[in-house]
Amino acid sequence: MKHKKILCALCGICLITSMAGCGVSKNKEPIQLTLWHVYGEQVASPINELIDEFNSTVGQKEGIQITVTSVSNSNKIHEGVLAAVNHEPGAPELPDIFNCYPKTVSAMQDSDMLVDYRDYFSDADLEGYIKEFLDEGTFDKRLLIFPVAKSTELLFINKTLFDRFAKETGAKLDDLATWEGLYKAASLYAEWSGGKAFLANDYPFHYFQVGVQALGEDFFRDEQFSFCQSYQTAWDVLAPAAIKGGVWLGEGYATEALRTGDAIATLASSASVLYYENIVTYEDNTSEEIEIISLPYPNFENGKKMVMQRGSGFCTVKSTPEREKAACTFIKWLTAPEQNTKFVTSLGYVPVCYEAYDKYLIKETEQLTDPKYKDLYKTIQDINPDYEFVYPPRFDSYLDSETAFTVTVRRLLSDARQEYIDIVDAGGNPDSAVYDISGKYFERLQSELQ
Amino acid sequence: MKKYLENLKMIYRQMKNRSTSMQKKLMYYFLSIVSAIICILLIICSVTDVFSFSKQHLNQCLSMTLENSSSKIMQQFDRTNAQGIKLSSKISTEIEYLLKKNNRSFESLNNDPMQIRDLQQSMYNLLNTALESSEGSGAYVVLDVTVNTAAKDSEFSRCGLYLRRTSVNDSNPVNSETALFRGMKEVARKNKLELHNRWNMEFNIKKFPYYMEMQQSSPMRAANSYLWAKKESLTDTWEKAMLLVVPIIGSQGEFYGICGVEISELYFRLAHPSSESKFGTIVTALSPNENGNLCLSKGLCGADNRGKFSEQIFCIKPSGNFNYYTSDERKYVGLSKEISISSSPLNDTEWTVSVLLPASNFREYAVKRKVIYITVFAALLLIMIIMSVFLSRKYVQPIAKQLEAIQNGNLTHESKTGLSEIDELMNFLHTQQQNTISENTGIPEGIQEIFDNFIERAKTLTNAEYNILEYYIEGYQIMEIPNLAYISMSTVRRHNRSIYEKLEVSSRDELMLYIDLLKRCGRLDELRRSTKI
Repeated sequence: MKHKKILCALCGICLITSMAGCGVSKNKEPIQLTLWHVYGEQVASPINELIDEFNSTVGQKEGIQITVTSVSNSNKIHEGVLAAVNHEPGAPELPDIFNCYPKTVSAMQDSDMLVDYRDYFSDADLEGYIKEFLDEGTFDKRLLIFPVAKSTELLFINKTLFDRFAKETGAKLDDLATWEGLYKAASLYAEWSGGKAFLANDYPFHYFQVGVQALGEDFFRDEQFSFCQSYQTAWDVLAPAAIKGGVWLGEGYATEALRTGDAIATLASSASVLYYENIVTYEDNTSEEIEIISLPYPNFENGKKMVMQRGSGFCTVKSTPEREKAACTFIKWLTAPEQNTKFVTSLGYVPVCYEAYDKYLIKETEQLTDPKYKDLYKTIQDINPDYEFVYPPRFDSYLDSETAFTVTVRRLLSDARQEYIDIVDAGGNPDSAVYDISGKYFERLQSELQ
Repeated sequence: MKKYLENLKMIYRQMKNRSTSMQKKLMYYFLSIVSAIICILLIICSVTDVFSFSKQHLNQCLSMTLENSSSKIMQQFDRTNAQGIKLSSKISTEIEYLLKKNNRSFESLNNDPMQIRDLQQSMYNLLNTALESSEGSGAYVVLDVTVNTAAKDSEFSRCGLYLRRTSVNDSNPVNSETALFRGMKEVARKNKLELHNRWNMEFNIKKFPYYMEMQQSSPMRAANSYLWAKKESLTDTWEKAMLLVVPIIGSQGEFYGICGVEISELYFRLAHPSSESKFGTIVTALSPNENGNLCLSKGLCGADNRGKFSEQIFCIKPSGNFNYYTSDERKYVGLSKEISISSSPLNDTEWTVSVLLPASNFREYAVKRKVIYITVFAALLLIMIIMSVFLSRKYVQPIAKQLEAIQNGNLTHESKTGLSEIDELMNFLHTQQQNTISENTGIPEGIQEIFDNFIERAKTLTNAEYNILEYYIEGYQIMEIPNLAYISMSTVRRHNRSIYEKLEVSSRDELMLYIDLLKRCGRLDELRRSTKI
């Protein structure tokens, strides 16, 4: 009996203790994940609001908080990631999640540091995503880059200035559907404007790469530039316009040239729509309101309709299972069909899952109010059935090849342009000068890159 | 009431008169002592603030963090202010050098894009050096001239340069990339800078903090006139920043414009990461204190892992060891310290450095401590109760046994309690009992002693001998015993001899006489053993 009493007393104390423990709230510190993304760079980006939404809803519930520690572009992220991976002096600390293209993963010596998303997404989960996008991010059967938004390349036109030019020269927007027509218009614009550029191309390398493929040949042979006949064809279309000054050869993004009035057309990613402002500021500090429209990526008259598929994905750096799972929770949330459609259409991208196309994309684009965005999605819808999308080949030196080709083409065209100016200034025949210089500099290109 | 008290008194009296067991009473006494000890302990703990140790610990932790953070921020802003003043002086010198060289007045630079471009180009190096050596995310200079006075809204348009780091993550100045946020595009192209995504050629001074105030106040010395503007969004970008505003003053007191350094929210967040403590994550914030409200929305704050922290406005409520900071959504505990980062009379903002910890984290810590205290006190109480029960039982049990022996009349000399007073009392009672028996039987004392000795000697008999004696006590004859005990007559005789010797009797008749006398005196039971062998 007395033992029973003692037992009761012990139970009582345990109860008191456990009840006191009930007062302890489970206020666990949330998992804080850092993110480097490319959606917006320096402008007010809609993704920031989406991240706030995630943090205050799913993130709050699951104890996950996403903090953006860098908004940059894929090239800078590429450099930052490689510097961090190689422990270079002054390298930043790697974030938990970052945007990148396959070329970054290919250039990493150790891709084992990245999470294989197949560990966190079931086959059933992945079935909902567009297969080609998943394939692009798969390395040795490991899904290392998760697609979140995809873009393509388009031709953006400052319609206000183009109309002024067209009115006086008879140029037409329809002419810009082919490379031949586009560069002819560029030459015409240069003559009309006194040497000003018509077109700024963010990716001259893609012009050659996709153009050569569209003309039915291989751009690369054994991971080297093939310099097949189509290279000459592409050069012959581009070079005269560039030599006459119709092509912007300066550095920086094409959006800059459009903003300052240094060019009136750009070839850029559909996602660059976020960076265009409806205003041009001239050298005398006067400004002009403009209308920007988008057109499909041009093609060669005798070539197929092809365009580069763009849009980086998310890589997650391996850490603890909890952090990796938290990162995947965020990515799942961002790529859920409805959410993904909302996200991509605010930035000029296209969704990455089938259901988003089937159910939400048209509805979402109908609700867009900015004419620039409305026009963009109309163009994207026009492109989709007609065009073949090109994915960059995956080999280690691809990025070096791209950089070398771009830099060399820009430099040679700038030199050719200067030579042309010198000849014309010296009283030479402009037409024959263009022809001679173009041929000469193609040979240089070939000799420098082969 | 009176009746109630009387009732209580009656109950007390009844309880007092009610007989309680000695063990229970002793246990109650022990428990009273235990209760008194626990109460004293609780009072001592309360008086010595043992229960508010959590608050004191938090205060120490917050004070230390505040000291470190405020010192770090002060150093950062002090150096930045010094750089800003130096930059202002260098730009002023550069402007006057160019004006003198070209024999121009400052105002004549208006509508002269070529001169302005050259001026911007010469200032680019100064600004870029200031940016690279500063602990900021951008640097700017606004000059009080414009490229085109005929342009729309030109009265609010001023030329200048604004350089911003494109990636504040990049801690290595060698690799630091810069974008031109404001300024002439030629400067960007010449110096291979990107144009910022929201580039503009000139500044809109209507939107630029303190430009017009500085212009109107005609400051005489930069060192007395610099200030930090509250956090604002950088037009059309996703970033918010605080700007150092330093006037550029000519040698004759002319107002040339303003310059300064930008510290963006992100840059500050990365430069002042949250510190971990046993209470949780402590965040540092630099913000204005406006009428007892901490306006994080107008200041900068370190890394926090709870969204929208930097947009909060907290009402400050001092509470002893620390302050409570409450907004509509959040509650924090922390400490604040006022610091001085501006010298201009144009700005009377009371800047404070605060270190903040989510109140829920502290609550959790305090509850944990309470649970530990409750557990310790409960365990102490339990141990004391068990000890009380055990000791009272151990103490009272022998006494109770003796009392039981007295009740049963079995009190003997051998019975001891281990308590001298009780043992003496028992001896006394035993003697009394013996005397009482003697008095009751009327046997002289000498005879009584003979009986006692006889009884004592009977205890020396072996079991077999005692069995034979039992037969005699029961009145059997010697001849009957062999059959009853299943032994031979010779064995009976041998036992008889031994019995006689031990009891010091010479014959059976003498033995039977002793037995008969003891029976008559009522002491025959003392001769018997408890069980028959």
